Parts: sequence; structure tokens; C-alpha cells
Amino acid sequence: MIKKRILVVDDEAGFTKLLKFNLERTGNYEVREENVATRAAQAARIFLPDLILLDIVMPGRDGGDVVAELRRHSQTTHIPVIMLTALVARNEISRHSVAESGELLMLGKPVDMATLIHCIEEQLYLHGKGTAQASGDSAETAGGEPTS
Amino acid sequence: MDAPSLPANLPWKRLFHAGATPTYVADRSGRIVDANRAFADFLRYPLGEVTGAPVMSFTAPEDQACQERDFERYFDLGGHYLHEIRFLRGDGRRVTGQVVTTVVEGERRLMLVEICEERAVGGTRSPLVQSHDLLRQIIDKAPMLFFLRDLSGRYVMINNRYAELLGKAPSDVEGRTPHELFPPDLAETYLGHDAEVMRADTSLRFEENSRDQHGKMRYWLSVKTPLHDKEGNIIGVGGMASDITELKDAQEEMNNLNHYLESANRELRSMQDQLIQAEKMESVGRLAAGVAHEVKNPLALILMGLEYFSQLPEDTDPNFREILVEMRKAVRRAEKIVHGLVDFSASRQLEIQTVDVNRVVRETLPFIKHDRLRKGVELVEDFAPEVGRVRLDVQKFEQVLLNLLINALHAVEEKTGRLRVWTRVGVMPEGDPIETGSRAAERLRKGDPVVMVGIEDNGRGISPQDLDRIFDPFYTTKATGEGTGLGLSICRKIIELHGGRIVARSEPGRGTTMTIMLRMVGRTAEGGDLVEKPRDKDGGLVVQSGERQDDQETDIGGR
Repeated sequence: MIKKRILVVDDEAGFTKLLKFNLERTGNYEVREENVATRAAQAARIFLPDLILLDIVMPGRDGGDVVAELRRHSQTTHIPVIMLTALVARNEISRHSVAESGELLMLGKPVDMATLIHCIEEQLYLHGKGTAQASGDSAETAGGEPTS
Repeated sequence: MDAPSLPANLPWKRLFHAGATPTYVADRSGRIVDANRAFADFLRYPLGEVTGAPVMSFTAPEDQACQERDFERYFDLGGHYLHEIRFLRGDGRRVTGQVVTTVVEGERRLMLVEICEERAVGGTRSPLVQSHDLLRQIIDKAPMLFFLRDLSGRYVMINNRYAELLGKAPSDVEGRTPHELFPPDLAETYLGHDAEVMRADTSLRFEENSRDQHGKMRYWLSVKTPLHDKEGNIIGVGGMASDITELKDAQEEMNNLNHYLESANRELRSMQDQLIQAEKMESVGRLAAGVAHEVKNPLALILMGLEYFSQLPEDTDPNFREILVEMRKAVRRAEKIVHGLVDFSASRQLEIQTVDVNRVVRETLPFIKHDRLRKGVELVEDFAPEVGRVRLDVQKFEQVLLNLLINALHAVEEKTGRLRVWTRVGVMPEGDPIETGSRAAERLRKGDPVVMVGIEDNGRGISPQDLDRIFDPFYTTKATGEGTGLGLSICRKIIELHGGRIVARSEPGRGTTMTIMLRMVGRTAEGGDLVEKPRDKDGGLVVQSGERQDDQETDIGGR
């Protein structure tokens, strides 16, 4: 089975490292970290991931701008993105440009692996990239439908 | 002379006839019983024509009605009277006589009328008469009311201005009492003031009012003075009244203005308080959001680490599993506190629906069923069907109810504990002075019809000192880790966002009642044409991991 390539963009290096450990241990993913927001879009063009996990509040450039840049380039425009944020209230998020970037799936930090993997698999499946096996596994472990 | 005359041989009669002062005696009907020569000369009639004739045949016809009234009164009251009579002379001229009328007691009452002074109408006048005239002019032209009232309260004299005010001629007023001219309460007041002046035997000032001929209320500053005869007996009251209506109106206007200023000032103060409060909340909100972000990132990292360790083999360490469970719980708790803080400070929009209150309340009860039965606590439901529907954000309202129910459950003893949950229609009681946040227009006012939801427990109750502070953020009586102290402050905030009110009543040792008051929805809205929206309104923009319905009851802090 071909591993799915996931790019994790977050300025918190410790978080991306541990996330990478957790995802790669499943054997289903190959993870690359990017801790500098301004380099995120370029990293995506080079790595060409199947999915991007993207923080919103980052120094230099926020997640919404990164999404906009991804959408501008043909190689990265169709890559599914899951926003990971430590913001909580809905109106907090709407202050950021991500609100305008459409139906992005957002997950609040801290997030447990079961939920995260479920969402990753769901997005991959919706974009025709998921494996039936992986999707079924995660649905079991996640223990509930995420609201989207 | 067929009229019954006085005995002719009395010495005083000779004096009377010889006297130089024009004098006559009249009976009650106004007939001249006797008159002296001086009087006949004064009238320019032979004495024989004067005696036996009615006085009225020698006086101005227009004065006759007034005169009759006066004579009646004099006869009834007795005493001396100084007044004027306008006579018609035999030579066709008119003359005004200043007369003193004395009622003489005897076999029958008679009236002795002496003419002390005379002046021709239109003729030359004596200096005294002229000065009298000048005085009269002042009295008539001054922008004041002048009047004299006798002991029985009858007007003896009023000036033109007073007569104008009454819409009458002075002669129509003189001889009447205030009772004939004013409403009873005013007349009583005027005569009461007269009596006061006579009792005090000194000038007094009064503020009086009356309606003028146009029906407008006028206010008077009235100075009343007792009047005395030569012997010093009080014979009546004289008064001067100046119009202070404009002054009063200005005063009234000033009072109104003052009231307005006061209330504007109060409003300003309360707005200022609200602004300060809002500013505080805003900065708490900003702080909370910042803290949330900064705390949640490390929490996310810790959780990632825990996730990693949880995949390690079971036999790594005997306590390994337990440690992970505790750490995971700690992460959740920290997250919850951050959440509570943000919930409290973020003034989120409400998703208002018109819903059946009883249904919402009833559907919240199962959330505490498990804990309640475990503790052996009885639940009494007492729902009034007439409360109908109210406008509220179901999720937030459920959050409030749940918080209150959990608090109540914590407060009661095992086995003997009892909760009573009720709804009813009521009326907004006196306004709560400690109001914050809610805008004035949305605020419930005293007397507004409200829907009340009450949660009553028979638990340990809250001490008065604690009761004052239970709605303050971070105020908790629970041990560290058991409650955030945000629960009730969030409850209050949510209810205030609904334009409602939450009130706590408690008696230590007896129990606590929390009452929520919400604006009642009018009958039209209750008619049923409003389709209830689906209950689950969560758009799901943000998914908080683990924040599922079954987690909700522990998601709320306590008091």
C-alpha cells in the first residue's frame, strides 16, 4: 500500500514532531513538517502532499493566506486542507481570512489521534485518494461522526 | 304718616331730628321709618315725601339688587357697616354717600343710616374723596387682586381685576361668599385662610390657586390682613393677591428640567457603569482568547505525546496505563477551564428559536438522571402548561439548566435529597440594581409578564455572604479542581443575553431556589405559525475533540 503524504504546517516544532511520530507509526502516512508559515506553500509545491494539516495562527503569515496561495498554484490547488487551530469561538475564527476560503474542515487543538485520523481519512476519501481499508479502520477508532 | 313711627316724645328722637348729619331709619323691607331734616335736605325732597317711602326710590336703580342683598345681610348679622350708596336727588342729580349703617336692636330690628360724606357724581370733589378715588384707581388698576371679606366671609369689596377674573361685575360679587363663586374645596381653603388670619390677628401669606375665566389654573401669593373697627374688634379680612402663575410655571419647568437632568445623569451613570463593565469584559475576553490560544497549543503537544505513549506495549511499566489515564484527564480539565473562560467572556450571538419551555426543561432532566439516581435524589416536576413558548437559544439555555441542576444535585444530601423543577407564568418583580451587559431596551421591567423556570433543592443552602457573590466569575466554594467558579457567571451572562434575569434565593440548611425569568412571547407567536427549527443548530465549524453530548454535564463549572 502506498503511504499517503501529509504536510504538517505549524510554527510549534514540538507539536509537528510528535504529530509526525504518531501518524507515521500507523504505517499509513509519510509526514513532512514545515514550521515556517511563509515557506508552507513552497514546501507543498515541492513535496506535493495528498493532504495538508495547517495551523491558523502563525507568525509571519496566517493559515488563511497559506490556503489562498495554495489555491493559486495549479499543482497545489486541489490538495485537501484540514485547519488545526487553538482558537475556540466561532467569531474568533471569522476574524481571519480563512472564513472566506470556504468549506475547510477545522479541528480544535488539542485533538486526539482517533479524531484526527478519522478526519484525514474522510478528506482523502472525499478527494478520491483514500483507501477503503484505512477509512474503515479510522471510523471504528474515532467513535463518532465529526460534525462538518 | 300712617307708618308705625317711633314714640315722638323720646329725647333722642329730638336729637335725631335736630342732627346735622343726614340720617334715616329703615326697616327690613327697606322702608324709611323715620328721617331727619338733614337727610331730606340732602335728598332735595320735602321731609314728608321721604318718610314712609322705600329707600330704593331714592337710590340708583342699578344698585338696587345689590343693596337689597346688603340690607338683608346687615339685618341678619347686626353691627356697623361702612359702605357707599348712590342716591338720586330730587333735583335729578346723583350723589354718592359714604354711609355708616348701624343695625339697632329693639322691639324689632331697624337700620340707622348716617351719611358721613357725600360727593357728587361728576361734580367737584373734596380732597379726601379725591384721595379715595386715587386709592380706588390704584386698587382697580394694579395687577393684583384686592378684596375685603366680612366676618361671615362675604365679599364687601373687590377690585375690577378680581371681578374680571371671575367674569363678573364687582357688584355681582360683592355680597356673595366664596362658596357661591368657587368650587367647594377652594372656597373652604380661602375661608380657612381668613379664619387663620383672624385667629392670629396678624397679616399672613398664603399660596392659593384658582381657575381664571378661561379655565386656566392661576397661582396667587395672597397677603391677608385682619380689619378692625374703631374699637379694635375684627370685622373682616382684607387681602391682596399677586399672580405668581408664571413664576410657578417657571418653577415647574425648572423642576421638570431638574428631574430630566437627574434622570439623564442617572442614565449616564448607568451607561458609564455598563461601559466600564463592557470594557472589563472585553479585556477579559481578549485575555481569555489569548490565554486559550497559548494554553491550548502546549496542551495539544502534550496530548500528542500521550497518544504516542499509549501505543507502547502494556508491560513497559506496571503504572504506565494509569499514569496515561490521569494525564489525559488533566489535559481535558485544563481544556475545559480555558473553554469556560472563553464561554464566559465571548459575547456570542444567540441562535434564537421560539420553543416550548416545558419541553426544553423536561428534555434536560435526563442528563442528570444517572447521577441523581446514584445519589438517591427524588425529582418533582411541576410544569405549568400555560407558560407556552419563549424565544431562546436552546443549547445555551440547556447549558444553564444543566449547570443549575448539577449544582442543586451537589447541594443535596444522599437519600433525603429532593429537587423540584417547576415552570410558571409570573410578573417581573422589582428590578435588580446589579444589572450589567443587557441593554436597557431588552431589559425586563417591573410588572412585565414573564415565564419563570425554577430549580429548587432542599440542600445545605448558601450563606448570605456567598449568595451575594455566587454570580461573580471565579467565585467557587468547591475544592480546587472540582469547579472553575465560572458556571453561574456564565449562566447569568447567557440569561442576560436573552434579556432575562436569574435570581438566587437561599436559606442555609433549608435549600436554594434558582429562578430564571424570561420575556413571555405574545399570544400571536404562540399561535403556532412559527415553525420550530431543528434542535441541532451546530454548524460544526469547529470540532472540539471529545466535546460530545454525553460530555456536556461535566463541562460546566459549579458555584
